Amino acid sequence: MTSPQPTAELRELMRERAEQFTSVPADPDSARLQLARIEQEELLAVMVQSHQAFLANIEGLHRTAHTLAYDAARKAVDAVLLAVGVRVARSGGHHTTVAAAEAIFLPPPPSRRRNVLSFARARNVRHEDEYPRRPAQATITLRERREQTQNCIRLVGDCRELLGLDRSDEMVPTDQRLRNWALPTAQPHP
Amino acid sequence: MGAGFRLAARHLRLILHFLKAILQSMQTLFRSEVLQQLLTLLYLDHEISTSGATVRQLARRIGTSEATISRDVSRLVRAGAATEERAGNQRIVRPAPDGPLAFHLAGLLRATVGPEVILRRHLADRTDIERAAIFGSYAARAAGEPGPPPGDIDLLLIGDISFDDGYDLAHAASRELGMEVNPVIRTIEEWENDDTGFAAEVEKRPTIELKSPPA
Repeated sequence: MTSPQPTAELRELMRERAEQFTSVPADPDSARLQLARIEQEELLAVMVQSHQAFLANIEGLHRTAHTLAYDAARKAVDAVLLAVGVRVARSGGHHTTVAAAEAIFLPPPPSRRRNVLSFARARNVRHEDEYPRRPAQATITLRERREQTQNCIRLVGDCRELLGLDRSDEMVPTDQRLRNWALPTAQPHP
Repeated sequence: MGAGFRLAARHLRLILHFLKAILQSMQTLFRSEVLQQLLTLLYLDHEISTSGATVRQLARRIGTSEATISRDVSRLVRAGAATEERAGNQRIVRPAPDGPLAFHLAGLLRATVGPEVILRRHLADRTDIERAAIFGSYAARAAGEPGPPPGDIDLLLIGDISFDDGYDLAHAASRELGMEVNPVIRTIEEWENDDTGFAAEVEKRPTIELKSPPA
């Protein structure tokens, strides 16, 4: 199984923001287990919410799906960090997780660039959702929210790939998939 | 006639003296690229302008030696453009917010190497963007509205631009500025038919127009 090495950019970030990271034993096996849980729990929840939002077109459901997808991506990035022996400290917060994700996925190959940049903007949107400044300041459209939901799940796929697992792109809620989607039968945890 | 000439000559001498003083200050402040980068970090980087930075952190950000930064910091402190504080064997450097130069210096840096200049450069030749503007707290502070220093830049992009390209542009500008740029991306149709109140709110508050649709 693959054990990822930190990119030069991530090492640099960890040096620059030493107080925002905590060293932990590098544990790729636990990281893979965490990613498996994300697939079984968070991504499934995203699909349920997206499906209901797609059928009823209720903005609140799209918002919930977006939050779940963002959280899944954030936990997936945390899993990659665990595999290389580091955790984001409490003082770092989501901002540092995004910076770490950029340090991991912005270097080539360029195919991963789109998902991680979308994740950075999704953090912003999630922050606005959580702490709305005023009701009129909805800076995101439904169109962008749906695209971000998809890209966050693709980022989970990028993290899985980095840890030597299959991608989970069949869980990306595209219109075609949402039209045909049905809740899978429950499977026990590994 | 003679008295008038003497008065004019005296005025001219005063003006020359004044210009010389300004030039000396400017030479101190902008004598090298490192010094200019140092000022830009101190005055335009949100984190450093509010919390300060050690000489080591500044050297790392600029990509030069600590000795060079240490020497230039001393110059800025003498010129009244920065303050320093000792914490153990570290020097914590901050902009001089109450110094006579601070207000004009921040304006000068914004106008020469600040976000507007950098964003306009990134927007040049973009045919997929009809209108681009800075809104939110950065635009409000630039218009003179009181408040805390802006922590990020809200950037409105209207046109046929894809989300991917918009995020890419914002990311490249953020890297250059050392400040987060949050892109808000709309098609012309979405902007014109906005019924959330967001477009109306942006239009009635201060903005810095970076690119306008052709008249």
